[in-house]
Amino acid sequence: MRRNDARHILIFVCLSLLLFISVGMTRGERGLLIGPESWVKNVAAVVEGIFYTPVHSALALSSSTEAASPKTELARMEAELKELKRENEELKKQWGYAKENPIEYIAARVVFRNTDRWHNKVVINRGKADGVEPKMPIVTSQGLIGRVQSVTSHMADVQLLTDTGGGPGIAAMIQGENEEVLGIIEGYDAVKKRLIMKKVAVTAKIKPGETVVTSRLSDIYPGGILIGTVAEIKPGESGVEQIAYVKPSATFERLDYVMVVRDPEKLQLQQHKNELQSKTGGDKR
Amino acid sequence: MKKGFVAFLLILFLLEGSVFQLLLPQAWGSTFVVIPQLVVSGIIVISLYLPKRYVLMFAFSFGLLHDIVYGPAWGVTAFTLAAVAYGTYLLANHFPPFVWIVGVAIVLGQCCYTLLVYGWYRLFGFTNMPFLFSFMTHIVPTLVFNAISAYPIFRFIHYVYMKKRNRQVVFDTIIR
Repeated sequence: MRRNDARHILIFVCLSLLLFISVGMTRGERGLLIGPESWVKNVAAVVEGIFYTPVHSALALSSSTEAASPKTELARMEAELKELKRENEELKKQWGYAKENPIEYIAARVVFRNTDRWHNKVVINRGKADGVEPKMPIVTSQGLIGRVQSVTSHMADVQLLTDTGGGPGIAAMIQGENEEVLGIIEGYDAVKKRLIMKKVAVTAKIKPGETVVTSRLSDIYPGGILIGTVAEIKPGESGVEQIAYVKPSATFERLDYVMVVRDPEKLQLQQHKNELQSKTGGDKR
Repeated sequence: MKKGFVAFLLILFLLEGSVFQLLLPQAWGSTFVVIPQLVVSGIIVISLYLPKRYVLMFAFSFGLLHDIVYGPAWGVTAFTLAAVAYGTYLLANHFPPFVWIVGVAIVLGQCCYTLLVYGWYRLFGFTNMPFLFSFMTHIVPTLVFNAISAYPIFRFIHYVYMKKRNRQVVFDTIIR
């Protein structure tokens, strides 16, 4: 009996060690996924899309106006018309947005979302085959919502801005009245529902309400994508920086149509960096 | 019967990420977040009926599926769900088969599962949310929702189990 117990404890300890190893190996940015994992993810994206899309459309309908027609056929056609109108409006808005920026946009639909809110991830139905690459920014007509974390051939995982774990920072810029202030957006305060922008120069005079956009200096983000507005400013702990709390302009509650930003310039930069890395043997990170 | 259980759990798994993400309070802008853990309820109920190896196999494979499809890294849910299912399996074997034992097993199991997953996430740095905030706004609503939604899941699994078990017994007696 006692020997059996010892064996159980040994198995338990081995399994928890295995957990640490597998988490260490599979966490973070993983780029292009291949093999059985990508097959599982592709199938999940297709099947969950069948559930997600109609429910989203039905909710969008019921929240705009409630159709109350006695004839079921008429009601059905009305519903269809409203859905098409809504879709048309959404696409028009995004087209207008796209016309202002001469960068390529890949339209995609959200097919499902992860269950908890401790980390924040949505999955879109466009992948490597459609030109989506890891690290590409994702926007809606309201502004930046996240970036591609990993891709398979037909779907992509998107890490949202509201992810509390926080990925690598975003080089951002506050557009003041007569100056532009650089900073880095690192993490999200779930209690205040604000993005945290660090490393803002102490000399900069920032007012609440000023717009925050991505900086052109970033390696992955094209410049000028709207992130949000400054809500609050406070001095940093060390006294050499200020911290700005940014209210994101996009909504993250019920996402449907999104766009993947494909900036040829940044892609070339990435490729160049990868080549350099493979020549020098890679960096330490 | 086992194939039926797998199909049922798969449907619950798919609903968790798609339909429930659009209906629960967080989709309407609420601070309170309800995490749908229907598969966990299903696995806990199944652990009271099936033999040990099936319980562990089901829990591990559905946990791994959850990690691959929804999770930030592999192994967190697979390990936690298998451990919780084993715990409720032991609980069921130490008590007579009353219905309220199922209720206790579900509440205890869900509580352990949610707290453990939050603990792993904090440990591995997938979240920085303070404990008290996430306890009040995430964990408590989650437990309430899952305790209520577990009842139909229990009724369904119980119904399938009784039906199939009776048929099997009749079949055996006829053969003999």
